Amino acid sequence: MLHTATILAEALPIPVICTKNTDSAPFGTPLCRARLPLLERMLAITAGVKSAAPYQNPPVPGEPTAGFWGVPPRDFSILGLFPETTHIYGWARCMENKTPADHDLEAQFNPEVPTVFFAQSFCAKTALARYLAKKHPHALYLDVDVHTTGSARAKVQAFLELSGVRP
Amino acid sequence: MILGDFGTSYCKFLDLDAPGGEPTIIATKELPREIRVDLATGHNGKRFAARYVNELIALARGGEALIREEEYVLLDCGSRDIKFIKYQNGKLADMGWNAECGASMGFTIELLERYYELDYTHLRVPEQTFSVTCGVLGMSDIFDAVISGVEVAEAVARFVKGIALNAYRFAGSPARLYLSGGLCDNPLFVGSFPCQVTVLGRFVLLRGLESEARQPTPSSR
Repeated sequence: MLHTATILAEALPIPVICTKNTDSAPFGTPLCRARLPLLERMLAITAGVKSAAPYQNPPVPGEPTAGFWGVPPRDFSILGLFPETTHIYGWARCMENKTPADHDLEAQFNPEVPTVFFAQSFCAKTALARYLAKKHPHALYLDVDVHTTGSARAKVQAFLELSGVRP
Repeated sequence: MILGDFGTSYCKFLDLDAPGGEPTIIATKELPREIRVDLATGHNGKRFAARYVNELIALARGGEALIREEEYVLLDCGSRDIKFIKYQNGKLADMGWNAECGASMGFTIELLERYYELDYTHLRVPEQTFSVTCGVLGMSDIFDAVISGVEVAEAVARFVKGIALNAYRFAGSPARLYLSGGLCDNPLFVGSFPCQVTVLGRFVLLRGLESEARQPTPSSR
């Protein structure tokens, strides 16, 4: 967040020391690629930031039929719309890998599966989500505010069903 | 089997068991509370049926039933919201549903016609337009224009054209589009699009429900 540090340095009367995340050792992304309920996996990924221990007994990878790209949403209920065969991409994958500044990993997606590029209002990832959604051959760019509205849920449902993704 | 499209201002019904049956329309405010249908869509629909199909899916299925092309944009302009489906090579390529910032465009257009006692069939498409992104907020432009000496009919026509242009941009500014929803019956609105428009009428979602009803495996949502 270099730009934030720059603004704070100008606005505050105290010194602002800009830090850089140096976590670059990959822990792996088994949850992102497993065949399990998406909501359950996202909960495990977010809970995982409290531990620096290597993953034990990782789940086996499953073949993807859909993709969810983005950060963990404020409202996890939207994750219940996706099938268990959904792979996770974006910064949520960086979280599981414990490499939050890995931009290459964050920008990865699977062009073979329909993917929802999820963004939240006022999140710095919004522009990247939109950019990658345009590059993906079969994408839905979804921008939501604090809560998942009925129309946002309907868009995900329709996108998955009309793309031939089975529940 | 009775199908129902429960819109904000109007509800549309079709009885599949009635030979040669035509869709019927009633105003939502006159809808009997006890009414029940077999398959529903529309933002009010979940309250009136055991099985519900979301509006984007109903729109897409209706488009697939009515349009014999591999590539098209189908835009639905209703009372409360606007939504579109884009197909390329016979497959879904894009979609959108603007229920917040595009809120109440159709509702406001109808409201203005009644309030100012206008008839949209007699209004010409104006050269100028307002920059309208929301039906409610856009009314300020009408009032400002009238205060500055613009005729009411001209001001309302600019407003309607602004809404049409907004809906057109929302759908991706296509060279041609298919239009569905209640605003299909408004010649001023249809004529305000800066592209070729094919009007499909207000029963496209019912046709989508019909397609869903005839599928062997029901996809209840």
